[in-house]
Amino acid sequence: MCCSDKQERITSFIDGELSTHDQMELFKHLTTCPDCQSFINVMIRMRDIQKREQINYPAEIDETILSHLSSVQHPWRSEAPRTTPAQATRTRHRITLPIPVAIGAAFAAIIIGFLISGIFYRGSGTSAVTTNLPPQYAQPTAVIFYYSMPPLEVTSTAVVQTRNDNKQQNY
Amino acid sequence: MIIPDDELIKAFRDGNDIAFITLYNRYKHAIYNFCLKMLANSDTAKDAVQCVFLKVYEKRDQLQQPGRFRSWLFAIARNECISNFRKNKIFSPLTDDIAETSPDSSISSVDRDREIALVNSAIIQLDPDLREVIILREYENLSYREVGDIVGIPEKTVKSRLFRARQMIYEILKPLFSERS
Repeated sequence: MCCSDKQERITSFIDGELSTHDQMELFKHLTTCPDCQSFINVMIRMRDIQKREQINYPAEIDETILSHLSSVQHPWRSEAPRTTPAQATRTRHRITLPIPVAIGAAFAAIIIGFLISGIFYRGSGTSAVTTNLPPQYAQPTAVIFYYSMPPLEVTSTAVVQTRNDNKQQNY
Repeated sequence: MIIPDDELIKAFRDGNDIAFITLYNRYKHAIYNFCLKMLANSDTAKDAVQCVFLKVYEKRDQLQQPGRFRSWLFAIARNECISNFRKNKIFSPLTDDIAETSPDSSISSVDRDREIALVNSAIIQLDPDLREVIILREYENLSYREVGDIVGIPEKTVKSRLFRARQMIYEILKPLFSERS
């Protein structure tokens, strides 16, 4: 192949990297050199053909990429110990509380449990506690049970009372 | 309104998956075209594109300069293609999709698709180091500097490789085109 230097300039011209002065020199050369004319014609034709090419993007890649997004290890999680899916599920439901709140919640749970047990075992509970404890502790304990029980009793009597009233009205 | 790459990359690095999907949609065609031209096999190209974007997702923190995202993305795609060559121990790909047409068959009835196949077959015959620069320059319209960044060579080398690639393509296409015309 002749005109190697000129053809190198042709490639620069095709890429838009040739100065105006060099372009003028190249055009002059092209008028007299059939080889370089052929070279630039093939290059221009190749570029035209490339522009006409349309490649369809496979849709399955979209699906694969999107489905993989959730399974990819994030960089900011990379230092954390890797867990199995079962462990991950368990840790997702774990609730973390500050220590004072956790202690308070524990006490609340104990007191609520205590009150509930008092409702179901009020008779034996009151007698056992009040009789075995010293007098100074018996009073508050009795108060707790006292507060837990009356609403039930009041409600039940009220219901009985209303039923009796209704019966009387019917007769 | 088109959100600039820089903003999308910042959001993507902060963990915004929507930003990643936007970037993916913006560059997926270019990356697929590049992989398809390099590997000349649609199945292998599909796998390569998947690997490329999953690596981008995983290695988001390694992108130091958001302004060079495109170069970084193509560099990952190029590495993926090279590793594919090494894995299969072939540097001239076994063509199936983009060059399935034999250049010397019934040239007189060459239509548009046949011409495209001719050009593709010429590109496939190049060595990978020439093929990658011609694809990046001709199909993706990247500058010499960007091509140099992606391939890891100076601009002068990019220019000389482009020249060699075009000379080889010319030698392949010249007789075919002259027969046609």
